[in-house]
Amino acid sequence: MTSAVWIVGVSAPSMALRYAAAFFLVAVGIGLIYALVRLGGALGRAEHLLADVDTEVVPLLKQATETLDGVNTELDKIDVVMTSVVDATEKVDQTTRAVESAISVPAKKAAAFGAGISQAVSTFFNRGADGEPADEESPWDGEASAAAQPGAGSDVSQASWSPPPAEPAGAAPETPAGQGWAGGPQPAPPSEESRP
Amino acid sequence: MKLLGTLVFGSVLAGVGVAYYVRERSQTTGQSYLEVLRQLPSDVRRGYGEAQRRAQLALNDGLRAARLREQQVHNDLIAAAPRNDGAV
Repeated sequence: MTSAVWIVGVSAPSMALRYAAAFFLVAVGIGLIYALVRLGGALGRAEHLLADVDTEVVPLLKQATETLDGVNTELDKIDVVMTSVVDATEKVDQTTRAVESAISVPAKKAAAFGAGISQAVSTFFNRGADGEPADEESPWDGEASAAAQPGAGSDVSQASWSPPPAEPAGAAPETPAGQGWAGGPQPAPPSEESRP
Repeated sequence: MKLLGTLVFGSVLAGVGVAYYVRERSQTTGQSYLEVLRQLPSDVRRGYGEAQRRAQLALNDGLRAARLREQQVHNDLIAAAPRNDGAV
C-alpha cells in the first residue's frame, strides 16, 4: 500500500504530462487532417482551372497569331503604298523646285533689269542737267549698303570716271545760263566723296 | 547706186540737223550763224564728254539699282516661300 501511494505520488505529474501530450498530438493530427483536406480541395480546383485554361487559351492564341499574320500582311501592303507615296512626293517636290527656279530666276532678272534701266535713264536725263552732277544724292546710295549681297557694288565703287575732254583755249563762248549741257558751261567734275 | 542714194540721203539728213541746230543755237544765244558754226566742233566735243560722264553715272546707278532690286525680290521670294518646319 505504501508503494502504491508512492507510485501514485511520484507518477502523478508524469501522467498528467502524458495526457496533455496525447491531447496535443490528437489536436495536431486533427488540424493537419483539416489542412490537408483543404489543400486537396484547392489543388483540385487549381487542376480544374488549368484544364480550363488549356482548353480555352490555346485557341485564342491561335486566333491571335492568325490576326497578327493578317496585320503583318496589311502592313507590308501599306509599306509598299507609303514607299510609292514618298517617291511621288519627292517627284512633286523636285518638280515644284524646278518650276519655282524656272520662274523666280527670270522674274528676279527681269525686275532687276527694269529697275536698273529705269534708274539709269533717270540718272542720265536728270542728274547733271544743271551742271551739278554729284550734288544730288542718289536714292539708291543709302539702300545699297542695306542690301546684304556680298560683293554688291564693289565694281561700281571701283568704276573709273573720266572727265570730259578739255576745252580748247578760246573755243568756249560766253553763253547764258540754263542752256543745258549742249551749249552751257562746262560742268565741274564730281568730287571724290560725291562720286557714287 | 544704192550706196550713192544712202550717202545723199544721209548728207541731206545731217545738213538738216546741223541747220536746225545752228538756227536754234543762234536764236538762243544771239550769235550769228557763222559763230555758231565756228563753235560747233567744240560744242560737239563738250557734248560728247558730258554724254560720256552721264552714261558712266547712269551705268553705275543702274547697276546698283539692279542689284538692290534683285536682292529685294530674292528676299521677298524667300519670305513668301512655305517654311519646312511645319510652322505657318
